[in-house]
This record gives sequence, C-alpha cells and structure tokens, in this order.
Amino acid sequence: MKRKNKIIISVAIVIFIGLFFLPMIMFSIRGTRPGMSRSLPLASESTLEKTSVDKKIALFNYESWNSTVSSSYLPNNYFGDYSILPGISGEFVIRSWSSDIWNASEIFTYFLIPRNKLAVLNSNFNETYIDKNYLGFYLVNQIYTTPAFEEDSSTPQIFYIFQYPQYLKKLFNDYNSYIEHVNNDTNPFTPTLSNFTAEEFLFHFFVNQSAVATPTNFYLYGLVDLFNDEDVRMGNNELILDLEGISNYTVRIGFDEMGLSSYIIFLDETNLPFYGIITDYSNMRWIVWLILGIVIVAIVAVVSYIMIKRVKRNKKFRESLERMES
Amino acid sequence: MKTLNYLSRELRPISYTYFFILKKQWKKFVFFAIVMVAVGLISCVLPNSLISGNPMPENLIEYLNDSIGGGPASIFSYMLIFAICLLFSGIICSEYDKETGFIIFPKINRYKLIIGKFIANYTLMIGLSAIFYFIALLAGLYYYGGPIPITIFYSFGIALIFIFSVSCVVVLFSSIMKTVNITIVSTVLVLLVGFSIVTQLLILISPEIEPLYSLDYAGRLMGSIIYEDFPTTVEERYTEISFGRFAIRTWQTPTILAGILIMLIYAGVSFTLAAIIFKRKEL
Repeated sequence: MKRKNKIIISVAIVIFIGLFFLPMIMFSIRGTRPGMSRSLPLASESTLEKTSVDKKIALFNYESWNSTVSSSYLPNNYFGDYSILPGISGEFVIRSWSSDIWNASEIFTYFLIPRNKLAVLNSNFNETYIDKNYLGFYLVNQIYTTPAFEEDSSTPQIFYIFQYPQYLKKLFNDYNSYIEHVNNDTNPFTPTLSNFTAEEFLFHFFVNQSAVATPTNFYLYGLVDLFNDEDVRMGNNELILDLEGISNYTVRIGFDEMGLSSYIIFLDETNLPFYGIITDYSNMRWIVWLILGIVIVAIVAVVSYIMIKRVKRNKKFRESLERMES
Repeated sequence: MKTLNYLSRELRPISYTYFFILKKQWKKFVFFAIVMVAVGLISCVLPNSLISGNPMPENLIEYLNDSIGGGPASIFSYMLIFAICLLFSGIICSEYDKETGFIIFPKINRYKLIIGKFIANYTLMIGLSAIFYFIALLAGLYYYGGPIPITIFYSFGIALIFIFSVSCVVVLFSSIMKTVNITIVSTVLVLLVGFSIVTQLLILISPEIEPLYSLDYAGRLMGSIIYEDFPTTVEERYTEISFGRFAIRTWQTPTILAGILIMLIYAGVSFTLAAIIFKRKEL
C-alpha cells in the first residue's frame, strides 16, 4: 500500500513539474509571440544568445570627423552619449528578442521618415496611402539590448533584423517612390522629403539600428547583389559603404556570428581611419564552467568517499558478525 | 590555564550539542540544498535560457537584485523562511512534545542546549543561503561577465542577519507552542501573511508611515543593498501612485542602519524571551 502511494505521489509530482515546465519549453522552441505562424523562418534565432560583450571606442579623430563626415552630426548622434570619448568602453548586453510582422506604413514611420517631417502623415500621403500603394508585410526580429555608450542604459536599444535582404531592397524602392510622389504634390503644406541613395539607405539602417540575419555572409551577399551599386560592397562578414559627406569617406561594418555589429570603422579618402568602435568578445564563461566542474567533481568525490567508507564499514561489521557466529 | 580549562569544560556541552544536531539534521540540509539549487536555477537561469522574449536585467547589479530580491516577491526569501521554519521549529517544543527533555535536561544546562542547537541550525542555514548566492553569482558571471560587485558580499551579510532574526522569532514561537507542526504553521502565517496584511492596511490608512515593524520589509535590504547608489533620501525609498486624492505609497527599502536595527531588535527580544520561557517551562 505504501509503495503504491509513493508511486502515485511520484507520478503526481512529475505531472506537476511537467505542467510547469512544458509551456516554458514550448515557448522557447517557438521563440516567438503566440499567434505567429511557424512557417515563417526566424533566421537569427538559433544563433542569438543572451550575453554581454564590451564595446570600446578605439579611435575618434574629431578634426577628421568634422572635415569628412559633418561638423554638426557627431558620433554621439549615432552611437550614444559617451561615444565621442576615445578609449571609453561600455558593456553591451543582449537582453531578449522577439519577432513581429510590420507593414509598410509602420516601417516608413518608424525608420525612414525623419522625425521633423512626420507632418507628411497628416497630408494625403498618410498611413492608409502607404499601405495601399506599397503593400508589404515584413518579418522583423527585434533584439533588445543594453546600450554600451548611453548615459541612461535603462532604456533598451533595439536592433532590428529584416529577415530577408529582399525586404530592404523593396523598402528602398518603395520609399524613394513615395518621396517622389510626396515631393510632386502641389499642396504647399506637404513637407518635402529627401531621397536616399543605396549606400545612404543601408548606412541609415546598419549604422546603429539594424543587424543582419545569419548566415551573415549569405545575407550580405544577397544585399549587395540586390542593390547592385558600386558604392555598396562586401568583405568577409563585412558591409562596406562608400559615402559622401563633406568629403568622400568609407564605412566598414563588421558582423559577428549572431548578426550584430562587431566593429564599425570610418575611413577617409586616403583610407586612414578616423573613428572606430570595436568589440571585445572575451568573457568569463570558461571560469564559470571551470568552477562548476570543480564543484561537481568535489561533490562526486565526497559522495564516493562516504559510500566507500560505508561499504567498508558494513563489510567489516558483517565479517565480525560472521566471526562471532562461528 | 585554569580559565582555559574552565572555558573548554563549559563549552563542551555546546559543542557536543552542535555536532549532534549537525548529524541529526544533515538529511534536511541535503533536501533543502537540492531545493535551493532548483530555486536558484528556476529564478536565475531558466527564465533567461528558455524564454527568449523574457528580458534579462540591464546589468549585473540589476540581475543580482532581481535574483536575490528580498521582500514579498522574492522566491529566495520565501525559501529562507520555509527552511528556517523547518529547521528551527522543533528547537524547543520537540523536547516537550516528544518528552526527550526528561533525559536531556538533568544532564545539560538548558541555555547551553538551546545555544548549541541554535548555532548548529544557523550553520546549516548559512550553508543553504551560500548555495543560492553561489548559483546567482555564477549565473550572473555567465551572462554578464565580471567584475563581481563588492555589494554582493554586503547583501550576503544582510542575509545572515535576516536569517538570524527570523530564526530567533521561530525559536520564540517554538518556546510558546506545543508541537512542531503548530510552530511551523503559525510562524509561516505570521512571517509571510501577517506582516503583509498589516502593511497593506497601513498603506490604506496611513501610507506615510514606514513599515519599520516588519521583518519582511527589513529583509528587502538584501536586494537593495546590492545597488551601488543606495537611496539616500526618504523620497528615493518609496514609490507613489496617485489616483486623484488617493495615493498608494509602496516602501521599497529601509535605510541600512534601520534595516539592521529592526532585525537585531527582533533577534534580541525574541531570543531573550525564548530563553527565559525555555528556562521556566515545566515538562
């Protein structure tokens, strides 16, 4: 009877634990919000992991920046408050990620139309117009991170991964077409918007708010191939953009195995770097595994010692009992 | 030399009791050690490893504060209270309930007995809380890397004071109650439910009064002390939500001095009362 009760209790505990963990495991396998279709692939999910890395401002030549990129738009406008301090490093933490489907109007509003030109949405060229003329649904991964160089790091910095390079090409075409229509409007109250070149468009996305889906090289190859522009090139896990500011300059953006930016280097016309952010991937995980290993070995050793001692004692006891009996 | 001999003679019963209780309670300790490891994994590792959409705190300090917490929402402080109740509840009443006092009391001074028992159980509790801190710290290092904040050791110190004070309260209940089960139920009710009810009532009646009477509130210091910029002004130590004329003020943490004092006062008063009751209680 006792044995039966024990079995019932054990089964109940297993069921209870199962009910507790099963939704967690299911949720993690899907890795998406409930309701998302599973047929939509999430290219980067398998490579993403919650971790932290150190980012460092390796180089900042203020004069070169001023004379090459812009005197009014400094690195802190792109990379955070402290990114104008050469030598400073900050902890960049990947906190969570999720996926969502965005429509064209949401992407135009959030990513492309400048903040000071949002009045354009009050004209005839509003969200309804955008969604009607530039039909498209975009699967976007959102990675929530702790920014490395912001004074207030409590607000997460979000990196977006457009699942396919085709999305960016379509957005580029659609947005430039939209600008053309807006700028041709006769209504004097409709603001005018400025066109993007391919390299400006990609710089706008990848400088500080987008990552790439993995495999990185495959994605970058698709991107470069689709845009087919001499100012958009690729290296090994690297996107190279030739831009024009006050003078010509080149931006090289490297991507790590998770698809996030691992370095960004600005080079002037003579290929001399004047701004750079690098990432240090050395972390303390091996120490954690080492400590865990030592602890587990110590526990096993202690338990084995106790067991051996007990067996020896029992054996001695049995022998002495046998001796007494004989 | 004479003094040393005298001391060793006087302390010997305490040490015998200490080692006897350690041997007696080791199975409970192993059980709770496994529970602490499980709780550590559930609260520090699994939500981050299994659920991609569950946001990890922004940095190591926030992470440790979330894991260790303290106060009503902390699984760690719940486990501490449960473990203390189970280890300490029989410290006095079991001698009367199981009538073992008839054998022990003539042979050993009651004060020495209770001190020996208390120190042994307290040692086990230190071990249990160290296991949880170890897991939280390892998980923190795994996700965020170093350096280890020095404040985690302050937090561990506060946890030890918290364990000491809750243990003393449980010992007091053990001296009043007749059986172990009643002691466990009553202490769990008082520590987990009683303090919360009073605090909620106080929020409604007089929210400006800080709940300095609450051991539960003092326990929040375990989590808040981890922050390097510990709140210095009164306004920083509470959050307030207003609905028209009505305001709900939630006190987040006591000051370090107040928190430690609350815990020590509880410990001192409870242990003294328990010792007096134990000394005078008839079998």
